[in-house]
Amino acid sequence: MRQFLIALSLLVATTSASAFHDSATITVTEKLIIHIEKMEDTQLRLKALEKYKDFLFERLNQIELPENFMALSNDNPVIEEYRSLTEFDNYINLIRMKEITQKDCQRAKMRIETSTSREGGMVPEAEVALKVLSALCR
Amino acid sequence: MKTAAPYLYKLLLLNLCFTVGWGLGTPAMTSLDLSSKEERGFSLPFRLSNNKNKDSDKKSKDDGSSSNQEETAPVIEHALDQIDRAKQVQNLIGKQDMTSNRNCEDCERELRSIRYMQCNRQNDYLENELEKLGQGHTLFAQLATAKIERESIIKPACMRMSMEAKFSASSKVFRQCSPEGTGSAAFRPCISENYFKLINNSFDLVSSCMKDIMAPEASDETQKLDVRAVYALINVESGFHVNAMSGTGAGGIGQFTTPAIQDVNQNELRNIRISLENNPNPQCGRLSMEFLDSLEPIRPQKAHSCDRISLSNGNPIKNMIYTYAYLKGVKKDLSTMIFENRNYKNKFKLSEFDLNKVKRALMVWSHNTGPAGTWTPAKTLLNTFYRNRPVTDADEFINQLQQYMQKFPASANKSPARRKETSRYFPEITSTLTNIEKNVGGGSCVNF
Repeated sequence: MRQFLIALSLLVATTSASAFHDSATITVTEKLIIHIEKMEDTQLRLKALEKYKDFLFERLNQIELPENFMALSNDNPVIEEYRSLTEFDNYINLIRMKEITQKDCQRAKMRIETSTSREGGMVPEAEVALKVLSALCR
Repeated sequence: MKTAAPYLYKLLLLNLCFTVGWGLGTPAMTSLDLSSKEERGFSLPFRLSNNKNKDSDKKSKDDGSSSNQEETAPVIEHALDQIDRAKQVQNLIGKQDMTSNRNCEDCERELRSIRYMQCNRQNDYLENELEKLGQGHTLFAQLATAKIERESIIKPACMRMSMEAKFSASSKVFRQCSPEGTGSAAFRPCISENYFKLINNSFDLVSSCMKDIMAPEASDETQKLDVRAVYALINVESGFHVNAMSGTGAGGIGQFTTPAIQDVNQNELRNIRISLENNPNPQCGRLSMEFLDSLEPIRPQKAHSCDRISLSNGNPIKNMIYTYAYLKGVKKDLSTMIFENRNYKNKFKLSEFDLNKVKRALMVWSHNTGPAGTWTPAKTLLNTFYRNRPVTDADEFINQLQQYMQKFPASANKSPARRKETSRYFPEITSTLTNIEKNVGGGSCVNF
């Protein structure tokens, strides 16, 4: 029983701490991070990021919400998933630079961090975006 | 940046007082309670359906838009549109002088009608400091003593009503700062002639300098509508009282919070200084030199909350500059994220006037939601309801956004209280503004 409760609390903790669950987005994000970490050419890294932004936009326009989604409760997983993906897309779109410089990387990091919450806390979507930024700016 | 408390009923009653009081040439001061918060449910302005089914969508769009336009009027509504409606209201209350205020023909009369309060021991705590700072040749002194200009961007009568209507005289959401920088609860400050002059003249100067920075290439009309939106926002945030302070620590004219101050200090202040100093109007350069260069920036920590409100730290002027600076940053971000973003910009098939209306609504909303707080609901709306169709009706888009603020908020606004507050913020600002404009002589609060 105790083990079950521990497992359940871990599951709840994992779920609440995660950003989104869309497998296509998760897979492409992981691939992007690995891909740009290997790239030496910084311009190619930026191009990969732009393609990734296009992917996110297309994904948001592929996902079909139920017809009556405005009538669903605010914490419905379908609503939360779409909300979370859109918020993640925002943070990724805050990564904008013509060249990868330390100054621009720091600025993008700060923008993501300060945009996440009125009181400065970090949200899971922003954490994933920071991983992408970190790979880009390594 | 806190909850916009509805005080429409108070305004209506205030209208009666002003109409009777000003009409008789006697002061009409009120101390009404603002706590009558009306709970309003939100009906969906449209029925969302499969986006491929355009016929049913169009029907639902048609159904929804008409009912909701009645419910909330957008801030950016053209002033001329307002005049006729205001005239009708004036007719209803029996006022016969129906002069259009487009050329401010009755501003002189309105100026003469403005009444100031007799201060008492409870509310005169700003008076000594005002008198002291009003001496000499500083810009602060000029603003605190100069006569009220009848051609100011926002009509003085609207400013006066804002200061009276938002908080009652017995309200204690104000702070009195000691010379050491510690604050204590205080009553609403006495709306004396000096205090009113300072607030009115400061907002006029800051607005005239900052409107070019907010929208550099825009027409005079667009810039003035921006000022009107900022006026409406400040009206709801602080009622133009320099020392308004919320329980959460948001303080001053623009009700600044710690992250917003940080944002302005880090991202905006440097460019604002340069722009003000390059403005052909020498007074704008003085704003920068006397309030941004000579004084320290507002410190973001709550422990320094007197920085946001004290006269000795350059308020209300500095807080007004910060308010515009913050909105400028918000506007720029909105451009990058939505209006100039290659994925979204072509979705807006609107006239320039209507597009500005939408931009302004999002800008004002962001003051409450935080810079990122409008991106998520706005983009969700564009990627769902407007997935396969353009935005052709600005008012409908703004009304729908209200629903999406509830359903798809940014993480920072996910609590039930914040969902409610953020979704209502803009509609309440517009309703309050509409009521003020109806109640102050008719027409727009802007002198076009």
